[in-house]
Amino acid sequence: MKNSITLVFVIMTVIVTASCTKVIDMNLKDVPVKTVIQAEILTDSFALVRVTKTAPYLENSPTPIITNAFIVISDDLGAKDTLDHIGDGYYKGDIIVGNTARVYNLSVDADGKVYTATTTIPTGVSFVITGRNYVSATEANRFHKEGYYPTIKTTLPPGDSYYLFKYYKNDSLYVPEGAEDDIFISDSKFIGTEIDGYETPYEYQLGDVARIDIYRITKEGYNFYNELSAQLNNDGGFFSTPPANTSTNFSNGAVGVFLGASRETESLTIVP
Amino acid sequence: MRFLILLSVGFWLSITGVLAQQKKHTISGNIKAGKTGEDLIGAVIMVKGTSEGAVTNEYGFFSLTLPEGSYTLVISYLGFGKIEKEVQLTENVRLPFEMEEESEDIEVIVTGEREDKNVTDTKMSAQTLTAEQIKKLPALFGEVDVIKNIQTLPGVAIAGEGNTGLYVRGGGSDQNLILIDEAPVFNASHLLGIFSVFNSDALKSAELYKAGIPAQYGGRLSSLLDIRTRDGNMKKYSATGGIGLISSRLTLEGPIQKDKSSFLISGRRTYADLFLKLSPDEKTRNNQLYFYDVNAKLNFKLNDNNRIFFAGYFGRDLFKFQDNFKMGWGNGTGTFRWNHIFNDKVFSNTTLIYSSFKYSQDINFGGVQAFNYSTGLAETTLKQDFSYYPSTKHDVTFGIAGSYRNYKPGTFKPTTDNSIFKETKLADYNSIEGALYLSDKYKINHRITVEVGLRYVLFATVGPGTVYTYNGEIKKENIRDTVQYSSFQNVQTHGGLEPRLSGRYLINDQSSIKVSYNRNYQYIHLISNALSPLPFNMWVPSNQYFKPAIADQVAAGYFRNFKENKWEASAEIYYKNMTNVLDYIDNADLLLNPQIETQVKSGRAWSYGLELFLKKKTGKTTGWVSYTWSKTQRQIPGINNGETYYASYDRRHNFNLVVLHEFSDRYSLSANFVYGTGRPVGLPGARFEYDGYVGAVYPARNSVRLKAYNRMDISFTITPRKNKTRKWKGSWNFSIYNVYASKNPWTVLTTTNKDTGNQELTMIYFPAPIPSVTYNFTF
Repeated sequence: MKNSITLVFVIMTVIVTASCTKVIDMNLKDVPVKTVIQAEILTDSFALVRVTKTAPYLENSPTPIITNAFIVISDDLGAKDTLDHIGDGYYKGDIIVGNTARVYNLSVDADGKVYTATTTIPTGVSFVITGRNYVSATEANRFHKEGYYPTIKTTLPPGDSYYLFKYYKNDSLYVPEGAEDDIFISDSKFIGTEIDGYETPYEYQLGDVARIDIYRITKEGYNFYNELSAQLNNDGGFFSTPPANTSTNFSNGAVGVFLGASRETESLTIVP
Repeated sequence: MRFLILLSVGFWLSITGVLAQQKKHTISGNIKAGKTGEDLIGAVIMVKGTSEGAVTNEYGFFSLTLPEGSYTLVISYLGFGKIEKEVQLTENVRLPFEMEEESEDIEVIVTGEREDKNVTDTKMSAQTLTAEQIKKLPALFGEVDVIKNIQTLPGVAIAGEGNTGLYVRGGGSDQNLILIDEAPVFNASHLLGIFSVFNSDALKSAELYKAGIPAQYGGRLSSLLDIRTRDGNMKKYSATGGIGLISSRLTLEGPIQKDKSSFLISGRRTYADLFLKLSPDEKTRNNQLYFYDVNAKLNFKLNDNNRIFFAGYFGRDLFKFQDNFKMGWGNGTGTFRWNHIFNDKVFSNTTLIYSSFKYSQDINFGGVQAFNYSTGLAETTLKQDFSYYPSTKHDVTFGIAGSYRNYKPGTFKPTTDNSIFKETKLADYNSIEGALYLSDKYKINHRITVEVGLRYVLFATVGPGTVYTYNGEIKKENIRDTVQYSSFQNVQTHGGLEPRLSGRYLINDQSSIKVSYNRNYQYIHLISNALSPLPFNMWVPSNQYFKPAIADQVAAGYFRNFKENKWEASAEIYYKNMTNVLDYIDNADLLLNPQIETQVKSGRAWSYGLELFLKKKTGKTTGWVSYTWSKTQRQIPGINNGETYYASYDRRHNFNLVVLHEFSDRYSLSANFVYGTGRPVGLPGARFEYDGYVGAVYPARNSVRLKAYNRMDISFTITPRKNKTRKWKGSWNFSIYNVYASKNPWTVLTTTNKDTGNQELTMIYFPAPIPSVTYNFTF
């Protein structure tokens, strides 16, 4: 929500300065290397964790992955699950399946340090795709391109709740050109209970299979993605809040978040 | 503090003592420009052969008390030539009428200051710009701007290209009291800070105080920018205006009743969007981007002792992109003023002021994502000021003021029936404020003059309102309770004494030393985490959580004039300490946050520096050079791990050169050059990969500096010869902003290269050079 208020200024910035950009070289301050933990436990899924390290900002090399971490997830009933490395720094469990009634602890032992975090899984919010809106070529503009926009109907639970949206086109993550830095998150702060007609941000064409995943996430997860989004879409602090480090629920100075989430999925094939 | 009070009392005793000794009479009156009837501020009345004298106040009034006898008064004002007047002083004399007669044949330019003011005045760290000077400088998009002029003065830093924020001696852009005809302006920017709200055609003068702020004014930590609009011509009708590339201006003025009353109305509008209307595409025609403003003034001289003024300003910005986005904002101010001369020694000014600022934004995507967001604040103030001139040794000012403010921190509401949003409104804040002040400019002898002032403010945040209480640290998780306050119920009271001291020691006719000490309180806080003066920023009053910010500043300077006051030079040093200065936690959530205190930390900021200034005032070539060395740092617990960091507008070196040259009556050229150390910014030191995105790890706050800023602008004015014989006088102004197309970073973004996928830094800069042409006229 915050984003749509400041969006106007991002657009102004783009308009005012459309043509005048230049890639520059600057000496950036070094920061000590940190362990990065991308961890999630979803309802009806095993825990999935990726462990990597930070790299100098402008250095053209992939971020290093850690393949020898010792990772254990446990719940408040005493169940334990040691995650196995499955390649590319990813680790997966095979015992504990995410459940909204449990509290989960994650322990990551990597490069001689132990990082721990705790999360719960909020109850999912089901939704339906009610149809799609069509934007014709004459109605289209740069924020609303020509095409079909599936619409969502749902009812939000009372109290504060937090969401992450992912959009797929024909079973692959839908990232239109120029939208690489878009993260779709929302809190319920300004939103009413009944939602009907909420459109996807991107257009689909006839024949496409549109899939929408809505994750109800924890507050910590929302904060992390919100801050990551602010980093990705920052204007250097001219109009928006200056970018800052993301927050974390991990101990011991790791970067990342242990995310608990419920996922709901719906699809629609776009037909005339 | 006790010492100060005793000192003030001492002055009063000495005043009465002086009065008892000798038979004295008072010469008083108004000094005006002959052709327009405009009051002259700061005209000097000297008694020939002595060092006795007086200066006209903001309303052109002066009072001079001398022993019985005969005198020759010398009245001087830059651009007017001197007037000498014999006076037989056997009783109190009023001189306004004669002055007008004398000045009838003098060329009228409303510039004006005492020729040797730089050296003789007790004021330091102050700069006056007149309308004429303001108009001569090169302009961005042909739009002459007083704030841009002020940014060329020593001690004033800029945030970046085309930004009208003022950063005075290490102070933030919210620490300037910007007054237009005594009404505060809360957001002095148009077009997101590219222009200021002040239309140069309507202005009479602008005075910036970086220190030594008179006791009459308070409420901001770092500076006072006192802008006065013209009163309007009392003698004849006239019009001035300009037609530019992006905007046009028109000012009409004249007598309502000759020599008794006048009016002035001045308007300005940008019309970039009018060209959009020519577009064949309906959607493009539906876009809007403009601002306009209107200044109006009415001025009535009821009789010799009473004058009233009405002044108003209204401005709006509007940006609309098709049916998806719309935002508008603006200030409105109104001033009613009554000048009353009680007697030859006591001048009174009663002022009623209203000022408001409003912002509104609409977003609509298909009716489902549709909302309006609005914020604003309004202030009403009643002030009573007195000037008392008991003898030539003392100029006393004192007064009282009361104000009420209402702050609307934000309302968010759905604008369609099927909008997914719900209405959210933050509770208003309200505050009342009372101020008392007393100041005496005491001329101890011809070398030493001191100005001693004291201001006391009592500030209370009052209901209706809601205040959150916390257990332990002020965090959202720690909310204990909410307390509701009813109308005008006291929520929290703050107050304090603000001493203002300055002194001048005249070494000789050409040089002086000045020192000053100032304490200022600021009771309203701008909640803004961006460098640009954004319109949706909200103000909050001091309460339990926001303590009033306090600045203590000491400054000392050496002032020297050369070649019969043609050149003036100064060197000043200052140290400023500010407490309870606000900064924001990482990733602060400032929009519509009912617990805004959880996002803010307060601590100390300090700044010190050296400012050098050299100005050539008369001749074919005029201009100035200014250089500032300064350092501004902050240390705030909870921010940057409690470690010291640089303010985002900290610039070590700032250099400005302004040159104006008149080749002939027809051709004149002006140029300015600006250089400043790059400002510190927060850029990441490392990156990380997460869920397909590239995140960043930032080192300490503002740890990297952008490259130095530099730019040169030129402006060329041609005045056709036929002007001399015609009533219609026109001139062409051609200007080029950033002549050599220096690429100054407006901001730097972290971006991903689309082809390689590597991270890089992208600088955004203003297109350059920007040429513009304006046709100015008067008739």
